[in-house]
Amino acid sequence: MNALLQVCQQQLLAADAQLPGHDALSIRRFRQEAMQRALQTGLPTQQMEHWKYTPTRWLTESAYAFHAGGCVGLDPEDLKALLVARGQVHHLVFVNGLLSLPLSGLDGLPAGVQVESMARLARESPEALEPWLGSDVTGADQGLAALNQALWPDGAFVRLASGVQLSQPLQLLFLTTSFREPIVTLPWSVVILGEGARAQVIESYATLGQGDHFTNARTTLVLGQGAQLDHLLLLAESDRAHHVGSVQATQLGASRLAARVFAVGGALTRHELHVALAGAEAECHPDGLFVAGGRQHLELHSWIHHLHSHTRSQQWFKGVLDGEARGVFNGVVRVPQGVREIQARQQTDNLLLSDRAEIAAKPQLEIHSDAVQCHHGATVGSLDAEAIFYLRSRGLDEECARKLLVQGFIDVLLQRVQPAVVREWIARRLNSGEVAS
Amino acid sequence: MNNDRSQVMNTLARSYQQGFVTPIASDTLAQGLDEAVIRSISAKKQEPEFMLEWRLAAYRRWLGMTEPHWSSVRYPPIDYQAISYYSSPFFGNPGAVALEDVDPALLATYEKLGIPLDERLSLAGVAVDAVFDSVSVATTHQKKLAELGILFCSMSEAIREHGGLVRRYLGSVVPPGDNFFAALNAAVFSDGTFCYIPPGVRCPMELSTYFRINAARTGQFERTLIIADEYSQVRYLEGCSAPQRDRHQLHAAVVELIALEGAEIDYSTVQNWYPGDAEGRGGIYNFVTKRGECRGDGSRISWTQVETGSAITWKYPSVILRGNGSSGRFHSVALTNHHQQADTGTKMIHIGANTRSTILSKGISAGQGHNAYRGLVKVLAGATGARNHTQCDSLLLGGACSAHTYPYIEVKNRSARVEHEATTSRIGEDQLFYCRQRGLGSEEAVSLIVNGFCQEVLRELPMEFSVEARKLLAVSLEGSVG
Repeated sequence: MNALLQVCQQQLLAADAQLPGHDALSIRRFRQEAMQRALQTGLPTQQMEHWKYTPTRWLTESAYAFHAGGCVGLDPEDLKALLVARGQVHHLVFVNGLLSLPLSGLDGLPAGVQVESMARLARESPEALEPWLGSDVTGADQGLAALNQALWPDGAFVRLASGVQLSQPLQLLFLTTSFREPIVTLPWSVVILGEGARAQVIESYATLGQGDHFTNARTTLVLGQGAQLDHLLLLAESDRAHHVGSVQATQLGASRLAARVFAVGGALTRHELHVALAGAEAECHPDGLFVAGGRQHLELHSWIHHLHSHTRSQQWFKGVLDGEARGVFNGVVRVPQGVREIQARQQTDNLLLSDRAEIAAKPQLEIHSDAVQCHHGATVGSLDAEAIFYLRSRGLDEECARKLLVQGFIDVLLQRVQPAVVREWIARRLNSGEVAS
Repeated sequence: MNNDRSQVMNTLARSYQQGFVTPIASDTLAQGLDEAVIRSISAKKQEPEFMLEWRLAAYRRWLGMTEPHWSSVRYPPIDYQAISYYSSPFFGNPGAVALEDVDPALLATYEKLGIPLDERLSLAGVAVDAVFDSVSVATTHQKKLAELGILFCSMSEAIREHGGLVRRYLGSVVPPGDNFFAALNAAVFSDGTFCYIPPGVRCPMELSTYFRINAARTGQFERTLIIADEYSQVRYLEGCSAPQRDRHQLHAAVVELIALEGAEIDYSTVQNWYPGDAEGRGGIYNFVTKRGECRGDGSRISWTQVETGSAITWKYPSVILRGNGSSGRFHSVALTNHHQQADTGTKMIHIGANTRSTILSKGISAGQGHNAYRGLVKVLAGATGARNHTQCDSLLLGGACSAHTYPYIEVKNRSARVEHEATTSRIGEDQLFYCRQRGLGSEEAVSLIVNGFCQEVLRELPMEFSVEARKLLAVSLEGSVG
């Protein structure tokens, strides 16, 4: 058996009593069933269709250990760059998988907004978690997701009552510190918006130091009738880190989800978005951008399931690849039989800046109904020589011209981020990592 | 309502006009497959030793392979031992039969299909190789072509007469171990067409093969090899049909095209195998490997296909763009009605610099048809300046059919430009309303719109084929509206 699976199975046996929710039968059983699934499915391999382009050797070759967790005298100053401007967002900080209250700031949360640690919730009122345990929109070959379901130690639980609006963004920062031994963290977060509720949630992943670690993350989003959620995900871990994560969203009628992902960090970063549009007039707008350089491997996947008639989705994914980086985009739009009046659009544009960069794009449509309008488009290319020439004729040097064009390519998605303070923070984070030139 | 339904059923029953059986005695091998069968096929065709070795090597590889199931088509398991791998309307050596000695019933079959084998009667511009079950019946206009040095004959004849060429090129584009069905074909292929165009020659007439499956419980495994030498040009047409039978029959062909420097090959197919009845009984499983290689600089290969028949179509005519500045095209219309399934598309592998490819795929699903476009555009690191444009559109008629698009795009060179676009939708109510308002019936209106949808592909076909394809589309869609 694979070393990682073995470590995980041992962890479940050894630390079972310490895992949150141990006293609740439902949670305990759910963990055990998930472990069984993980053992049955096994870890992903490149023979699996949806992992075709993902290198998986690191899963078998690296020895990841579990960390007892906890925070080791971190200075809030260290986190300054990792958080959107202090005072303008509510924030929860997780260090090595566990919530660190001293580093978090939740002052002035309006009434009707519940933000707390999943671990605490599972211990104190497990019944509040039960409805969300099995709510994932599962895809194929989800061995790693099952491992997260079996072993999650903590995460954020966010719940907005009906009609409540969160005026400031809420940031969830998942931070891993570097250790001599590479560690694995498995956060699971749940965000639930009641009827007509509105919020912006920023989820960001970062590393302190340049260490190797493995983040296996999972986020569950549930949007009630008419709810509106702006979910922003920033994946910016160290260049030696590995990240495999998924966001699972379920949307009821007339709800609206903007799911934006910006991926810049990680030796290997793979993000999956699964959206189930389960009510009339539900709408989702996934956006994605990866900017990769060096020998990075960044992947964005999206699965949009139009489960109900009269639903819409509109996706735009972009990639910028430099150095020897590899990028992957895999988007699936599914319309089952009997579902009508669907509009789905999907676009992916990719920019190759170096001779050794590679891109694989796979935009798929799986349509079982005739009352649909689905479009997808994909492009791969390099910077337009004529555009560079134009800028140079206006007095810019070549490097400047290239930077400006790349910036323009990225900006289209960046400009959709509101408010300005968040947009500027993301722009800074994009530039602090691998700079595309 | 019942009356309406029975009318529709009648139309459908009528709609496959090539569904007749020719009652003719045949020399058919017993069902089953082992080395003895392969030896006996090879012996019947009086093949040289190297071919037998080649077949046996392929068979041994096939034994170690498993049937692929990655495509979106679904079918019950195929029993490879319940198929007869050789059926010939001739007894003894098929190569020695002159056209005058051929059973008149056989010739009448081709007359009925609209392909007279008598050169005086045939269309002036088309040379035909007629393949009946496992053997080639006749090849027309051979003499006229030979004057220009063009070799156009059945595969069996080529193996006997032009062993050098066959040995050099056979399996060089689709190697015997390429995939499960290609390996099976390499082991048991019985006939097919061979064509060689010498350097600088522009083939004066269109070359064509007509495949006919007649015998029951047989499979057809033919192999086509076309070599266009430097700066030559050829247009090639392929047609096919089979009787209406209530059991599935397997057709696993291999087509290899080789274009040397500056050569151009246009390969068109109008595929009209028996699609099965409205309930999904019977029909041909069409599992075909077609691949062309632009081996020389500036060469061009173009695939045009109209797929209306077969219970299941599983084929990906591909182009390997090895020569610098070579180009590949794939134009396809695939229509699935009733319980038909199609998983088709193409692969464009850009290896040489400044290679170009264009993909245009139109899928139409009606009834409970299942239609998938699956394509790969791969630009390797050396393919500087490569260019691809892909467009695949799907049209859905009815709530129970499905249309899928699975494009794979892999780019390893930054100077490449690759574009892909796809749409899926049904016929607009406004378009239908407009046509109805002008006095067209709903079937006519749909047929008109579908024809317009396919126009870009159909106009790529030679005239005779284009007319046939339009008729086929109309016939195949009968009963799918209303």
